[in-house]
Amino acid sequence: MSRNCNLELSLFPTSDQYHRHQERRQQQQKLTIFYNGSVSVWDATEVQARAILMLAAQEMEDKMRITSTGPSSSSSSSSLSSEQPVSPTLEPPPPPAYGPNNNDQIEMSRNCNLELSLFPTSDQDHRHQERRQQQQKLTIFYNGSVSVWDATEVQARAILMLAAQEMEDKMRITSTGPSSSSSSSLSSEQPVSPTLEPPPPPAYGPNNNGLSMKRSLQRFFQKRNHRIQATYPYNINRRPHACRVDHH
Amino acid sequence: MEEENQNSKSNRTNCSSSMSDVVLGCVMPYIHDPRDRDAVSLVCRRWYELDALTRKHITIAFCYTTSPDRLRRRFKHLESLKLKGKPRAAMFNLIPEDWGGFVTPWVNEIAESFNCLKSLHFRRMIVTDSDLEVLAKSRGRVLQVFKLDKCSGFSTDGLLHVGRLCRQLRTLFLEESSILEKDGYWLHELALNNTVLETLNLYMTDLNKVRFEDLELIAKNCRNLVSVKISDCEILDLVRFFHTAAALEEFCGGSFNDMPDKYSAVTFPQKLCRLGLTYMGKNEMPIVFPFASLLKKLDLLYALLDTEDHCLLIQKCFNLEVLETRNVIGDRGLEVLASSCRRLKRLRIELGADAQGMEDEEGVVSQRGLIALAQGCLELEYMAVYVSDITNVALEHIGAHLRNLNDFRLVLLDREERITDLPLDNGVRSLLRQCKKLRRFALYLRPGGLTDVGLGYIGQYSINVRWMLLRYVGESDEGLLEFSKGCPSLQKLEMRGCCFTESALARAVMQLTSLRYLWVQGYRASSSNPGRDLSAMVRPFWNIELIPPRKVVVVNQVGEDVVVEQPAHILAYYSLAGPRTDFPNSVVPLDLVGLVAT
Repeated sequence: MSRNCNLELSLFPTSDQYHRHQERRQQQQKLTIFYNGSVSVWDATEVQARAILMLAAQEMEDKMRITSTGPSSSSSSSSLSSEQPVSPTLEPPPPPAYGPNNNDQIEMSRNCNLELSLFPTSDQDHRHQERRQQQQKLTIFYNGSVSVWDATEVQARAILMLAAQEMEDKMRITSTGPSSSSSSSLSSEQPVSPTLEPPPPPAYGPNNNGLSMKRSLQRFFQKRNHRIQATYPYNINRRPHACRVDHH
Repeated sequence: MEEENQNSKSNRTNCSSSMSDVVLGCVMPYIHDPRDRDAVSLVCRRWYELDALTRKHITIAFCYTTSPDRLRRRFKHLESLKLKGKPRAAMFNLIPEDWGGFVTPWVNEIAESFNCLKSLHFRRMIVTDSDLEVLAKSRGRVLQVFKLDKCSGFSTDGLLHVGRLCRQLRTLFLEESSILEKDGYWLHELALNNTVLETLNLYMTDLNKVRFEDLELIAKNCRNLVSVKISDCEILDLVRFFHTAAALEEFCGGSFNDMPDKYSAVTFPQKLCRLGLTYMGKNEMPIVFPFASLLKKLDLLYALLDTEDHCLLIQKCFNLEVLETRNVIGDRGLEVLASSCRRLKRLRIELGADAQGMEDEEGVVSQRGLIALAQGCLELEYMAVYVSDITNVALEHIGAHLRNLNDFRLVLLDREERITDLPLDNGVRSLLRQCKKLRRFALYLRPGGLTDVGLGYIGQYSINVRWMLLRYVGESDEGLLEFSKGCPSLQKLEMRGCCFTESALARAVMQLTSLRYLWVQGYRASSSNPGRDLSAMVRPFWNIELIPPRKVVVVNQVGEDVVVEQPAHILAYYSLAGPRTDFPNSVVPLDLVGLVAT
């Protein structure tokens, strides 16, 4: 984790702006992540949301150390802040369309396509390059609070993946959250994290005449995931490095 | 004396040459190619018998085509046997685990009759601990090569018998087998009892309880140890092993769990030229650099490198002949490969798990990479690629430059919505026409990928192709029928996602003159009476089996259980042994005679 950072995570709502009685009873609320016109939504407890936000901050910090530094700032808005040359740019809450007040957003989160598509739709190489460097706003909502970062696609993917794993882990232990059966990526059968596959339907699942993956490779990817989960929280970079001993 | 005269007389009348048996008996052992042997055995009875006495190796491409008994009656003195069981699709989790391919009847016959057998290779078959015990006790003293290749059904208890009793083993190969691991004693037994081991392969078996101390002991005792492939074992624990195994040329497996800088202390054996390090990342990669130029084979399938890492590493491996990796290599990596590795003979680019954002987003392979490859690596003989985009021009380049190709497999991923240039009719025609040495061919496309005309081209121009795997090719039955008028050498055909009806499939089978094995998943079954329209292919010695549609629980990449609907399979093959008698519940033999009669 970053050395002298002040990771205040305030997840208490500043005001009772929208009501979700069901979720409150189960102590889960929607954790929403926006990036590049796509959205992913999970039902998360405070603890989970905290963890994910910390992971995101760490991910951003690590990547930014390698690339250029981002603006550091603190803001009155309750969100992650850090003294390191890394922090999310903390902007005022985005336009009302995505605001926590807006009930439309709740509707949208239930009915919209919850697949985060992070692949460019055209396959021009130079656009690949451009997009890699291009940063877009990554916005995380939870319970009336918002955190915003400038993130590249790579970073956003990484954060989403970490979040998915975090949710999956926790969900395995706890009970299932409210099911969102309308979404194509959240399955209501099992406590399951959103799939991160871009449209069209998963090419890698052994579905009807779909591409099947060789068993040996499948096994490798499962083990790779376990390795990453095992090195967390000491190292949450995408690629599993050595387990470092420094504690946060 | 008289008999001899009579024999030579009958030889003269039966055979064009007047060669005596003695001469023939000296010449015959030098004929190795199975097709030549096949021809020899058809000349006359005497030649058939001589062939049977002198044939050293048999591959039974599908175990249900014959029986252990028949094998014994013809080739009693066999020294080497290879048997294959489950359909290829089993490697992709498409075949029920208990489908079949049991080695037990074969093992029993081997134990009893095959006194000369030194080499045994089971591929995609079901093996039990008891089978291993029987084999070890009966043939352990003479067995030199033992391969359980993608097999299942046994545990390390069975391997204990092998370790204890097979003391002459030069090769023990278990790659990709599903083995129940109870402990690592079996390897300890092997280490204690064997001094001649040359090849040890536990790759992709998840046998993690093997002790590295036993590997060291094997390295110490077996001075001819040349190839070792293991499961996950910390590389730092293998330092002494690498030091001891002086003759080692090939190593795959291992694991990197410590700080990258610790690995700079690892030195590899001097002759090491075939390498694949599991979980190797960007920071560990430099340990390969000192001998990268010596590498002939590089396995990056289970490494953790991105596109840039690939470029860096491949650039240094200018003697590379074999490369296996995932599509994270990207077009850029292929361009580096094309300019650096002119001696490349085999290239395999597998599917990465980019669905999870784990792979480099630059890791896509398209026509750009293929064109560069075709222009740079002119010695390519084997090429298997997963691409995200493709054009006819790319295939034309392959046809124009890669004249040595004998095995070409192209899979078009479903990821991109729009493909630059479909259908691929002209490109495929160009490739097949020019790559005259092609024996194996696979084309995995999407609807619209190849028209009926294109499918007809495949039939027309695949003169020497013996095996084909096709998915989403053609548009209608017409295409299939046109296809089946050609393919003169096609022995084994596998198809998925076809739009063809049962009757078209049956008619195609009857038209494909060399066909002896057909596997199809995803076709237009007749709605009223599934299987009925296959009756057109009912004929003697031709077995037809169905695996009806079923729901399967599979684990996906995120580790979730997903219920998947799998469509029906048709499996049809020539057999001298009659229909199977060991069906599990998931497989249904088609009694078409009964159907036709009603």
